[in-house]
Amino acid sequence: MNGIHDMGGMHGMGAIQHEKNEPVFHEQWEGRAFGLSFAMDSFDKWTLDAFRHQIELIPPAEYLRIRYYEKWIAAYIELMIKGGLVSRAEVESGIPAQGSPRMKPALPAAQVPAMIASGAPASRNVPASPHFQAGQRVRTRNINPVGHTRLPRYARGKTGTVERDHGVFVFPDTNAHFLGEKPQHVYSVRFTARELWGEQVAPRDSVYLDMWDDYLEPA
Amino acid sequence: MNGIHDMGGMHGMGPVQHEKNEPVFHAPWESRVYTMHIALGAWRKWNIDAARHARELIPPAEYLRMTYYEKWFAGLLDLLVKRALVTSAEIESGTPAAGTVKATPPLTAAIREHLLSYINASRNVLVAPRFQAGQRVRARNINPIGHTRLPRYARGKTGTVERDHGVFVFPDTNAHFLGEKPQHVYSVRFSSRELWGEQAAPRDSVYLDMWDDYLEPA
Repeated sequence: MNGIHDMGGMHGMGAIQHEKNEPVFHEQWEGRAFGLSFAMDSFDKWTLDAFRHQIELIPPAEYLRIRYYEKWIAAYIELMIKGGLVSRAEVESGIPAQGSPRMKPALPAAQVPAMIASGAPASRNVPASPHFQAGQRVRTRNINPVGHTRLPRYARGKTGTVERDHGVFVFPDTNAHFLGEKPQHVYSVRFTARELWGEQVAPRDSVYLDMWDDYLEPA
Repeated sequence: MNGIHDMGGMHGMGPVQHEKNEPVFHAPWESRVYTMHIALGAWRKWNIDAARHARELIPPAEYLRMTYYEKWFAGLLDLLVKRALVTSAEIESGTPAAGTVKATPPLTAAIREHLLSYINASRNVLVAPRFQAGQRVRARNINPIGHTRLPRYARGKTGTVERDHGVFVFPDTNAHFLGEKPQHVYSVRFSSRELWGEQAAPRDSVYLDMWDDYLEPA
């Protein structure tokens, strides 16, 4: 999706504000939003990539106005409705519909520390043959899907060099839409800044991007 | 400037809302903003490309929130301050600074020529065209922080010159008061597949107005 989230190379967003001694959460509700997300993920109704795509679907003016965890809340509301965990009326009223059974939490408190520690790795221990090798020249495909992708607009149709093979990972473009994990190799690909941004930029600068096998073709 | 205004090819903006019997202005204040723009343009402190760039500089979250003439108004305030017709303090207070001389509005019949040239960007000067109809060209990969009319989605793409429109002011310099640099503008045809990849319809094309300085031979 060529959405508002794909900001690489954009001007006019203002300076990055570095916050000294930044806390993990700025307000208590942010911690609650984070906790809720884990509790809801445990119902297994969506994937990490589906969550990211849901954030991308926030209307652009809202997307730019709201903060990081506000985006999380907005996305989780939609995921929970789509996943059939709640209805829109329930979210709006804050009251369960008449006759809703009380659910058993999918994430018991005792399991939380282990879950936080293990995270949600996207690597997969399955054999998949790599299409490319370190040192090889590759060109990114010019794709413009309406769905989720991690190939940024500014890198499409550009030529770079495979620097290393990270191994096998879930393919976000299908996984976000419940079309399977399609595990495949992911490479660190080096693009010169000049290839990406033209002759006006510094000749020695490069950008390294994580590129899935399906994003690449031989150059 | 790779700004929020450069929306070609973006998803997620929602459908275009067609308004039946759309009025020229939706509220009286819109026509006031329009008129103020012309009256203040008569001071010759900026040009149409600088005015467009001023709107591009509106912070993105504001840009998406605002209606059309709200953007005009925000851009106008920016120009007024930058070109020293008023100060930010005067705009905020709504009161002229002490000792400010009352200015005589310059918008008179005599300024007609300037107003026309403000709107009409074609120039009757001799400039050799660098390309001809039928020629294959590539759009340069430029990413200026200033104004440009070369959209992001067309950069580095190959197309065919379909016609030569004649000689026009170059917005990229004019917006920054670096001269009109008149040059040929062409209608260039890009296939949808060149722009958007193999998933696009094979027979679709996009025609873009391309200034000479945006192009190189393909």
